[in-house]
Amino acid sequence: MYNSMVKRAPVTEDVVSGNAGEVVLAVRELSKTYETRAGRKLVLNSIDLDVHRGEFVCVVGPSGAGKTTLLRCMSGLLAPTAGQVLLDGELVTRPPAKLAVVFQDYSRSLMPWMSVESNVMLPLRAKGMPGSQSRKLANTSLEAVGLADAGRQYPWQLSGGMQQRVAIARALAYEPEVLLMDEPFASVDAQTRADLEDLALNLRASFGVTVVLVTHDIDESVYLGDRVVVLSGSPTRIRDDVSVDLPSPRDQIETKVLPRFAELRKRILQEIRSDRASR
Amino acid sequence: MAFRRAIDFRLKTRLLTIFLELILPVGAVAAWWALSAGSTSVYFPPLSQIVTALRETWLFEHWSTDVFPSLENLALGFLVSCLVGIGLGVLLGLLPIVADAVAPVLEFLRAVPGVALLPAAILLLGIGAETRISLIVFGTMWPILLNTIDGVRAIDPMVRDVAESYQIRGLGWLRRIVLPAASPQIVAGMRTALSVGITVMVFSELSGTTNGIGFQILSAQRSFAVPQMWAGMILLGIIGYLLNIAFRGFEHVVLRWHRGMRQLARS
Amino acid sequence: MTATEIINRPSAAVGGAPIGSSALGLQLRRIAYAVAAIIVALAAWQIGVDSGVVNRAAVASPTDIARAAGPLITKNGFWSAVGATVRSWSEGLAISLLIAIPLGLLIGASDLFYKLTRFSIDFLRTIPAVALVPLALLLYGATDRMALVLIVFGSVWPMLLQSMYGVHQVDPIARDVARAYRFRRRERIFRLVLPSASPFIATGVRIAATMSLLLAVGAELFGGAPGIGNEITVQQQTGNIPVMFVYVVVSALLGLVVNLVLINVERRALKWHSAERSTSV
Repeated sequence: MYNSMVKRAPVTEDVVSGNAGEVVLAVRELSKTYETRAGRKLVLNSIDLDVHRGEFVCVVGPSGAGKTTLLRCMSGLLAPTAGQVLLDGELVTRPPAKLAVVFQDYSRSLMPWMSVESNVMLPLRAKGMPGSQSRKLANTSLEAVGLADAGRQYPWQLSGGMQQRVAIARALAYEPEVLLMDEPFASVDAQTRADLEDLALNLRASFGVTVVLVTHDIDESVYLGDRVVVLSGSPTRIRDDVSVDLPSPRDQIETKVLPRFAELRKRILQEIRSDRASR
Repeated sequence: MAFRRAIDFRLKTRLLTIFLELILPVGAVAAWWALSAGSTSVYFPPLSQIVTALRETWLFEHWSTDVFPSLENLALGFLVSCLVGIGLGVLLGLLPIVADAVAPVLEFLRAVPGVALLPAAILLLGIGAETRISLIVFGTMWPILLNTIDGVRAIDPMVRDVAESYQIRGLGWLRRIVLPAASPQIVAGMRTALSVGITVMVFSELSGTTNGIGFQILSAQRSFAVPQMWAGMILLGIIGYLLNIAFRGFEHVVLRWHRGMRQLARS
Repeated sequence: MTATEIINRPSAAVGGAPIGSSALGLQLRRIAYAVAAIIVALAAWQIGVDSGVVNRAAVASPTDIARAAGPLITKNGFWSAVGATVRSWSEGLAISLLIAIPLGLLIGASDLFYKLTRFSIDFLRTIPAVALVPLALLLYGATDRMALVLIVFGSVWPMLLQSMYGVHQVDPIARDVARAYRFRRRERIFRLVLPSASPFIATGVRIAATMSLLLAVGAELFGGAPGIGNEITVQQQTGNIPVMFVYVVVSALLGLVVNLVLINVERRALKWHSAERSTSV
């Protein structure tokens, strides 16, 4: 069963350094305007972004910068006002089958009336996979996130970190090409966050899935990403696209003491600060 | 040693609780028995007579001719109510604009006391079981329908996002996501509907019928068979109580996850 | 889909309104829909009766009812019937309120009392009050007293149970605060328990009010006590179906008005609590 999940080859150096070439998710001139009682509000201002196969792209920006809006448009949950999103060359108008999302609020994104195992099986059953096969896939997935024994429990019986792992397992079992994560580690404590960050890196390395992770935590974005896309405040556009040339595999201690880490971090932080100052 | 003492303590508290809970009902019944033993009042016969009437008349004579048909009507009416109420409720819950538009009409219909419609129902449908079942459906539908609408509308938008993002649609979506998510509200509506149903069942038989629990209680009253009347009332109480316990069992199973979740939130 | 189509597609609003509308416009539109629904419902009813699908000898059409209502409202008999119902309803509700709420608070607060009464309350409350109609008739005849007894018996339970439940819902943190500040019993009752339990008590009152109206009409219908229910029987027996339906509509309107009034009073009196309350039947 493990083999069926490793659809793509493990990530190579080429991919990590951004030379993969093939664009799997493309965002073209994406704009989003909201109608509010106070009038129209331009949230996203013509965003252009290319995500390459196997990449780990982190998106950071100040609060209220429309990071979540961008992610929702990319996932097909929200229709843009202008521009388009293309997955493998196909236009995204509703959530496509090759894409999975992990949301920030894990307690609300897992179904409380189903066991952990059933939760992970849910998308598989919905697309018609037979029960026994779904169950095997789900359990492999749960094992991959370190929750092999939690299948029979209910989500609300687990800790926050474990619940988010279940959500990640669910996304993984779906075998998507692209995984979108919306501030997935923001609601857990620092220690759990470090574990989950490493889990995300391991899963990307094992299963070769492309990841776009939205976060407000700059350290996290540099630690995890092959690239960090820096957004400006509203109306949001891309301020910078920083290539993270830190060595792989990353380590919570070793990587973070590297001078290069501090440089990248400083650069991004300065960008965000100056963006705030100019408002 | 301490372990054994702990078990003893828990056992003792348990027994004490059961004892306390039973004192009043058992004591009240015993007091009723004793106080009414020598009663000559027409309206308040001795409890012993009532129990005899219960055993002889109700439990055997009237069981198949009255009690069972009444309960059958209730079951049928409640079932139809659930199907229509939940089905329509889910539909309206998913179409909030329509639900808002028909809300005044529904509220008005809900406010009509079922009792007031009894004469009209008899005129329309005659004195058969259909009349009673229709009234039961009419009375019990509103709590189920309105609660279902509320429950579906209150589904967490995040749950809908997750379902959409994983392409869960159609019947599977209704069955695995919408209905379970709304189930606490729906079950609460069903609980209300059950007690309304019992009430409607009784009053639908107080007029224009030829059989049924309510009919027999009324007949007993009219022919001054007072012990039989009291026995009927007590039987109703017992039936209602048993139905409630059965429903609680159903609720226990269906909403186990909900209970667990809330217990955790409380602690 | 071409690029221009995408640009012109309306946004799948996340909390936003359709382009070009204001809040007021939305409100008016909602009211218009509701009015339309009411008109459709009335029309369907009218057509049903007129076309013979629904037997005219059993159900009156909206126009029949309206026509009958006109002269009826001027008659004294109408208002005395309505008055009788309202009187027994309010008297019954008041009595059961005075019994049920203090009792419920007491039982809810004391673990001992709760255990003692749990079984009995559970049993007694499932007895439908209508089942008492024969007994009440026997004891009191077709009088106001009969209606009153029935109403009190039936409407005590919702308020009792809700009061008991409300006492248990006192926020444990608030309770700790009261203990830390060493509230005396009286302060605790009036400043902690009653305010916390009040939304539940209010819900109980609302349910009881609806139930007691139902019981009032029921007692009049079956027992012959004066009131709306009695009029319904009389009109049915004399074959005056439209007039009978006027009374049916009146009873529904009474129930609606009572409910609306109570909801408003509740909302105003419990403004501070409304953030924590859920909406349910």
